[in-house]
Amino acid sequence: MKKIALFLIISLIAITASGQDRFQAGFFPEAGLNFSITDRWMYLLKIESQHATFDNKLPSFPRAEYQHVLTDVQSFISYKITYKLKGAIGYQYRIRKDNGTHRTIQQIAWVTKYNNLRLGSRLRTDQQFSDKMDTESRIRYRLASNFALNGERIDDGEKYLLLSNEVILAYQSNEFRLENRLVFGVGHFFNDSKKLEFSLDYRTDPYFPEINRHRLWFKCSYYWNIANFLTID
Amino acid sequence: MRLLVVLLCVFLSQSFIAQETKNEKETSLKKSEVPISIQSYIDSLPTSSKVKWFKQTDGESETYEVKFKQQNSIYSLEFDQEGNLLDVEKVVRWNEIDSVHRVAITKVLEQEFDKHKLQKIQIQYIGTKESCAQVISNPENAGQLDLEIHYEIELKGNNQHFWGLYELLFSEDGKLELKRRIITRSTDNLNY
Repeated sequence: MKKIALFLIISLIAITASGQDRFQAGFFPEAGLNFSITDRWMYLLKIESQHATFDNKLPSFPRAEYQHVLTDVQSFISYKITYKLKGAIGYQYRIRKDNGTHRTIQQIAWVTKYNNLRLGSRLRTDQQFSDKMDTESRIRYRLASNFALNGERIDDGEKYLLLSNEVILAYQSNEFRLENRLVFGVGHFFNDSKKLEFSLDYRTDPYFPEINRHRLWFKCSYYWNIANFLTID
Repeated sequence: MRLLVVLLCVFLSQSFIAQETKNEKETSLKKSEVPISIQSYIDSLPTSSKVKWFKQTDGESETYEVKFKQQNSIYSLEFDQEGNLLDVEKVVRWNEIDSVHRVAITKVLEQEFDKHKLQKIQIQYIGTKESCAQVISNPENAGQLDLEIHYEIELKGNNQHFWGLYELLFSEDGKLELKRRIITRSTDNLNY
């Protein structure tokens, strides 16, 4: 994993250093806590944070220079429509050095099973509001899956591979922008309520008219599911 | 930043609290890691695809599971630790079940669910190694062999306007022997 990460960084630096493209890399820890309110209603709190260490637009490049980019605090209420389809609405507050922004989120997510393979689909729309910028509206679709490294299913205490790709279409100030996020990594399945994942998240945009920004995040993600925290009859 | 580190430590510390739940695990094996008696038995069977070998444990007992394809059908054989054959399961289509038994099973499903949609059907054979070997080689002769037959059906079922995933076990003549709801795994890492 370390060799792949190093290879990717060096490749991306080589591709972008001599050109006009923006390249940024860093660390991206995130943690999600969710619990069931009833059999169908669930609440999720998620915190994620971006910390850049390389940025080819900074005078210090190629030396590393730490920069806190942003921290997002997200809150979702989710409803289980069927055993595999869930709808959710959420709110996010983004903390940035220069300003904070508010985001409203709507999504449906479903899991499709092919033999022992689970494919998670997420269709999301969000709207970002800020005093300093025009409102940005986005529609995004992500396909994700986990692959057992041992046997045909992921059991307690086992590791797994994760792979996902998300396409995001954004509209702001009469302009469209496309972003692609490819994530590849390895996870540890403690049990059904706790998962820890390490991954590389490679983001490219704006595609219209061309890609000129590359971001590579080393992600550490922790998911904690508390079952039936509160039961309302 | 410090708050984030503290929160991350709180979350991570929960990982090391001991769990007192039943732990079922499935592990892939190489052929050489499986008892010789099981290897020899599988070698004697006609298999048209690569054979997969697994060990399953629930914390108390261990079994071996062997999967392969034969004549476009997927078979799964389960053995105990001594190499005794416990059962043979074969994935089938709904219309491969005898029409009389289909009628009986359908009646039960209509009583149990407001609506249902079949997901997976398996025929389960329980018998001697010889009988099971014969039914794998010539499935059309199943009725003439000394075998106990069950049907294991996985379906989406609607009860009181809520769809869930269920597993039902029927006897050969369509009597319901077992019904259980399948608890689907948490998908927070795939949904958020």
